[in-house]
Amino acid sequence: MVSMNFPSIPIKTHVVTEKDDIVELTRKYTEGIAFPGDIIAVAESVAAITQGRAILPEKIRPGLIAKLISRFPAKHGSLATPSAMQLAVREVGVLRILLGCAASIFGRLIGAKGYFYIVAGRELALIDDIAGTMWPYEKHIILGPKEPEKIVRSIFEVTGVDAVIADVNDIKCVDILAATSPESERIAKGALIDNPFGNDDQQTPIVVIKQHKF
Amino acid sequence: MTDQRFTQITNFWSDVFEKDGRQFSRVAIESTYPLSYQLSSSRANVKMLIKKARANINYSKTEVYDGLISELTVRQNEAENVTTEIALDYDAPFTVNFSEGIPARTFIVFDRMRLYDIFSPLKIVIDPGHGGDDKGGFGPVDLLEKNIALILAEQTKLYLDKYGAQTFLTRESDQKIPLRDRFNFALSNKADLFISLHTHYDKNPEVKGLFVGYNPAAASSEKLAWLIAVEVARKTKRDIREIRRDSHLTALKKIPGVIIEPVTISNYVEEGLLRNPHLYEKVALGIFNGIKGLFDG
Repeated sequence: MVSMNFPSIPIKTHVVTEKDDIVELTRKYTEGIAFPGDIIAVAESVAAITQGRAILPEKIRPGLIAKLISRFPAKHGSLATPSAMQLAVREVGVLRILLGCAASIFGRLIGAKGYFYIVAGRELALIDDIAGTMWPYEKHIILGPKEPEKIVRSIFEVTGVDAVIADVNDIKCVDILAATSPESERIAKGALIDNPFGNDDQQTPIVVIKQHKF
Repeated sequence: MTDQRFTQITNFWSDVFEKDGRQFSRVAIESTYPLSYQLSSSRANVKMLIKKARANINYSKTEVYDGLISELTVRQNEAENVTTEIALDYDAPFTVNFSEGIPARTFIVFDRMRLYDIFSPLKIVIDPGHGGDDKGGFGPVDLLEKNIALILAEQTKLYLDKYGAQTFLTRESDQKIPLRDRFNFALSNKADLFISLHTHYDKNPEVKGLFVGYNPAAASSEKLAWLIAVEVARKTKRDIREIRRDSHLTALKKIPGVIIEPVTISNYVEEGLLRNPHLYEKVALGIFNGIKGLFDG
């Protein structure tokens, strides 16, 4: 994917918590910056935090299966700790996790990656394990956001601006979880490739992709 | 500047960059239109009054602590003005640059020359703990202390080298070196400082935080330990667990020396933090700031 030539404006916010409403938050911070024809991109982890999906590992009691299976994923991945794996079990059920493991073993035999998530559920790839998110959420495990389609639709209704929920990392992977239109998804995939959300403590979870000048 | 349009401040950040082999600090203010501003500066403080502007956040204080800029504050005033205040550790010359585009960016660039004056006379031995078959502590997932110590040491050396310090590593690869040899290396090189890097390990996975031990035989060691502990904790946002004398370090005789364990590897969260490359930069910068505090008048 090549970076598209649409400028993006990262917007600094306060530290977002579960007391925030993601739609109202987005409206407030993009007012006067995003207009119809632009695209508002919201970081998936922040959308999840507003939904109360940042969970402290000490509140999780990993079961035997989670303890066992958490030994196998790549350690830089989403499910490196038993607590995160237990949350994965809670999200999709034991059966899908076990089927995912079987698929992963098959994938390794044929030299292919990603089979675990294809079978167990792509939403599990959105789980940020302990220390996978910046301060003050580094102590938490962050699950992916619920109903991202509903969030982008609500943002569009309130702002009149197309919206996407995105998961972006520093190895130029852009995953659009939900978009108000196929065109905004296509444009956002290109415009977000250099991760304007930032990867440290920039505190810019909203990015406006400008297709029109001010 | 005379641009009269109403502008919105969308973001502000700070970094350190290199130009023509020299290091500079800068603050960037991003906005929808070019800024119309008035600048004023008094001792170690630069204030920018931005006219006809609105900030997304009414009041925001950002900790920078890069060795020159300490804090950056952005405040929305009653009138349609925004005040940006940059607090410095010391008075430094600065320039203002502007780059057009979306967003428009205004840069306030500060000269870090004084840091060269502080660091260039110093000879510093940096000691990555453990190595070879001495693995040190280990994390609950898979990280080993000996590997982390080496990365921490390399990052610290990189930071100090930029400002002309003469630095030496006691090991540059995965090899076991007796403790006595490490201390003798510092003594034979007549080092001004000895900085040993480790991580803490504890059987109790709840134990976490930063530890700094110091050489009780050298007068300024304790002060150095406190300075480094405060600065590293501030950069990494971890708690200080303990600062205490370490009798092993008395082998350094009068060389001020510290052993730093910035995190506890046996804690799930802190092992996880070690997977983020930014943590190493923050530890290195914290050590840099601590040393600066000791030698900067």
